[in-house]
Amino acid sequence: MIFENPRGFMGLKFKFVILIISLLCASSTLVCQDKNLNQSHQNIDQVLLKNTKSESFIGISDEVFLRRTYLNIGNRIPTFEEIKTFEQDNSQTKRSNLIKRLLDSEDYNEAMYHFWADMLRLDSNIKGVYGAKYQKWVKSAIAENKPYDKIVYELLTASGKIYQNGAVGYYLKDEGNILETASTTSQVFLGTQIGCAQCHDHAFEDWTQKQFYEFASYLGKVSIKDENLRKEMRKEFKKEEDLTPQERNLLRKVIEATSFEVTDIGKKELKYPSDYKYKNAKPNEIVKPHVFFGTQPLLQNDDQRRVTFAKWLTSKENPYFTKIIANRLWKRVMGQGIFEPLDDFNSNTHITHPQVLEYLEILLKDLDYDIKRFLTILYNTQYYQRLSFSSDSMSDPTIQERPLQRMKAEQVWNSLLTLTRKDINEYFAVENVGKLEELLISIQKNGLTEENKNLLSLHLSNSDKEKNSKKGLVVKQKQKLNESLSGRASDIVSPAPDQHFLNLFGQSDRQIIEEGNQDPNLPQVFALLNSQLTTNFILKNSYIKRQVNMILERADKIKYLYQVILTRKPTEKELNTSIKYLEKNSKEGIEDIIWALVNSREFIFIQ
Amino acid sequence: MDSHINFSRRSFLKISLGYTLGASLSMQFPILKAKENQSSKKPLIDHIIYLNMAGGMSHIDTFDPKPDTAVQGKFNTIDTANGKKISEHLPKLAKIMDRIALINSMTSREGSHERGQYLLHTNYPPLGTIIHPTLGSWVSKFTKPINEILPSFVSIGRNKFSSGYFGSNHESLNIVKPELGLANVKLPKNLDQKKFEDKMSLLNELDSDFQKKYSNLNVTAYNEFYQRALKIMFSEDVKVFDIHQESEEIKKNYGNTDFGNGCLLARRLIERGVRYVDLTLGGWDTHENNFERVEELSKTLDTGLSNLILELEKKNLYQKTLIVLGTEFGRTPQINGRNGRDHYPKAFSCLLAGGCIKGGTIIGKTNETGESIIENPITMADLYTTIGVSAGLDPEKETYSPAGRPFKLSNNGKIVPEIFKQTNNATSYQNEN
Repeated sequence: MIFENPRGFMGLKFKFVILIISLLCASSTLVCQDKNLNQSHQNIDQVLLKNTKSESFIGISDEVFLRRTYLNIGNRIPTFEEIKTFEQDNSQTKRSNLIKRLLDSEDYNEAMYHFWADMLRLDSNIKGVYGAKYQKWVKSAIAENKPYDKIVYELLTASGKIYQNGAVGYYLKDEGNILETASTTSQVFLGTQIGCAQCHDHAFEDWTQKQFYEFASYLGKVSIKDENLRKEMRKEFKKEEDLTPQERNLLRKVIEATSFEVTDIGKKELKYPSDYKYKNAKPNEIVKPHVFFGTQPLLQNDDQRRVTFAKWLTSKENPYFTKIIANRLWKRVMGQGIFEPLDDFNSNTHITHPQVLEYLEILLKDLDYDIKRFLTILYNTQYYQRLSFSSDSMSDPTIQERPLQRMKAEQVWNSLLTLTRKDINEYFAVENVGKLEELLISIQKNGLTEENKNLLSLHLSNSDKEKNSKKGLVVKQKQKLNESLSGRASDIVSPAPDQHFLNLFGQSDRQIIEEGNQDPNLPQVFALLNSQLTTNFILKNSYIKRQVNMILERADKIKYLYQVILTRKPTEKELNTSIKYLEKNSKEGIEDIIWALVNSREFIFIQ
Repeated sequence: MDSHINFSRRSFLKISLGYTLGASLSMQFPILKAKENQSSKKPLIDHIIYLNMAGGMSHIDTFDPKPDTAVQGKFNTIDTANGKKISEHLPKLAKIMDRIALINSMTSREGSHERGQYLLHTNYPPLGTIIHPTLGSWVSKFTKPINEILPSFVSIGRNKFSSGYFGSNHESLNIVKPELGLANVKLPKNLDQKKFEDKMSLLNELDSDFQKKYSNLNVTAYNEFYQRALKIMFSEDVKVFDIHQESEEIKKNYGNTDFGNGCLLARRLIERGVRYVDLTLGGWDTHENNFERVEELSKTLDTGLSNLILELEKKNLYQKTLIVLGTEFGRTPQINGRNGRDHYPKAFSCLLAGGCIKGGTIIGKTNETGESIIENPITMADLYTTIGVSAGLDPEKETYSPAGRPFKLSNNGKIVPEIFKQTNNATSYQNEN
């Protein structure tokens, strides 16, 4: 009804009035009217502009849009060919088309992987070998654009062995410590840090230790080990007499790893701790499940606790579930959350744009938590495409400019890789993890056959040389380095190897939720200035070096380099400076220019 | 703590000409800057080496054993130079316990690694938006550098603690693996300093438009880091990071472990004037196989730390250095079903050594099972206040987060006077505070 011809016929003021009325009355009608959700991005802009004196946001040029969007959606800068493709699109929907292309690309999958990995603390070393299966599960979920609520539901209700169902990694991560799992579940998906009440009533908020335990008891029947299988395997193990101490040690680890199975055990119960000091429950008393906000879910079958819990948590009626993910995705796109921090919603939390947040929640529910469609809407707003801050003063509370941010570690790495080869997908890191995993499955099924023993020895001889492989990830140091040079950020082991670019540039170790950062430090600078990656792989043996060598004119060489490294054309001044430099330094001048551009602030900051 | 926000101050600050993200308020209000620069207290030591036993070091299996009880577990105990028994797996330290002050009564409320390590490094529990500065950053900010080229604060081992709102100038230089030293400081073979400087000129020229346009703090921070990097690259001091300049014998004395190498590097850094070195020895989170793992870790610790103390003495650095050995919490006296011990913040141990320390002293006591403290409980805040005073910092001086919230190094802790040697300086501190 109202939104058929928004641009041509209606004044801004009239649109606002309709918008506000709609929001006040039945918010869902707003979305229902807009069947293709084509106007949702405009709605968001309207609400944001309402508090300012402007008619629109100050927008960015195509060049800036191109680089920013490639980095934001695809985690890397665009190649020369991709820049040309965008330039040659002369349609009205040029930018929209790019957004769609990128959201459908492999690069989007890579970028979203890190979004999840940071939240779930997804490292390569869960219980020694099985991080890979969990990682694969998450990557598949992203590739098929599984709805967000389904992803969370499947993680929470996951059962089985990790090679049967990668999602059980969610429980294996905390090694069966369900208090920890309950705490992180609440923090990540409900944005609520009730985990602070694990040891005592929360210091500032109203949550009590009892409420935390009641919440955690929904997971109280989870077991991560198959004790019977473990006993059997140990019995078999004791029979083997001709094993060396090292073989015995590895076999012990093997037994540990293969007996992991996430199940619910009827007899298991969570109890209050023995030193529980409050009057509202007794020490060692069995905890009864109870949620600390919203409607109590009906617990029909005690064995179905996790199912009940997961349904409650992922429900559209849950007042926090949608809000939190909407804000996370908003921050990812816009640079800042509508409230921050993202996962500590409490009585002091300041919401900068409550109407926008409300609208986003309705939108996400209406889209049935389709992440790609939600992101499409956000990327198509004017707000996403507005100018960046050029200083740090914020005099206007309704922030009009986007924060200027440094590339994240993964973006730095992938962008540098983009310069070294024609197609970033050309090489993938070898997954040594897979072989050990196969061996373990085989041992579990067939016992310690001769073949298995030989394979075991093989892995042992590798692990002797590799001092860092305490958890059984059998990769040699040198091999690791070479592999790590060849893969995209999502293919590299996590935590990244010591002194790897990812590590230096602040990638999250994935031991603590989302603790990546974009802070400067000396090792980063040394790496950009002098590392093998820079001096060898980018300057000497890279794809862009070979390409630029084929260009004849100096000016054209410079223009090409500016495109592939900074995604723009050089200014007259820059062109002159560079050409003069080349005239003085004909031998290594081009390499020096590449080096200078890669070391520039402009390269690592996203305008 | 949240409820004590001074509203009038906060609103005043917000109304005034904006507030700068990440910069301290002293930049806007000169009177605060004048106060900040006052270091009126005389330091007792010039350097601090902080040994971070990450994961939660079991107190019963190290410095607070309970022999002949059900909680003791597998380890025997040995006599030490200060009269109190410690674990049999710390023989070298046992011999020099008369140089060391032992605190058996540390206590905390933080039972998770994340929160515990955060408290250990910053003296505050995590508080949402604020990132508190780590102790090394306090020292870096409020003491004058001895060596103008090297950073005042170096961290060794995988370490994620930051300078918080003190900004990146007081961030630690992180050396992940001591035997690899500081990577990427050597120029390629065909490059000399002059040529390198030509390249830097080119870089600055080509980047000048961007740098002029964007005066954001995160950009200017990078500009500063580039300048510092160059200074270090072309200095003599850069060699300090290379432990292979030491003899094989010396390296062997430290144990040839990552931690041992870290201790060696720490000694070298102190020699060259670095103020604060943070060194991590991880792996203490022994929920399983507690005894096997603690034994191995103890050997590493024993060799590294005892040799560090002896070397510092030999090199006449000991008097001017404070060594702290800390951990985020202890471990349960009750042994669990996996032959391990679980987190136990209620009671744990820490050590201090160095020039201003009263060696051989034992502070605090736990009960016969190591479960509760029966004498002189010491909190992280107390430890920080004490360390701060040793370094010549004013533990009660307020600094401000970007939002105008005041924080003090002490976080309301109290000095532990029994730690100090009875010298004039130490006495004057006790009287003043």
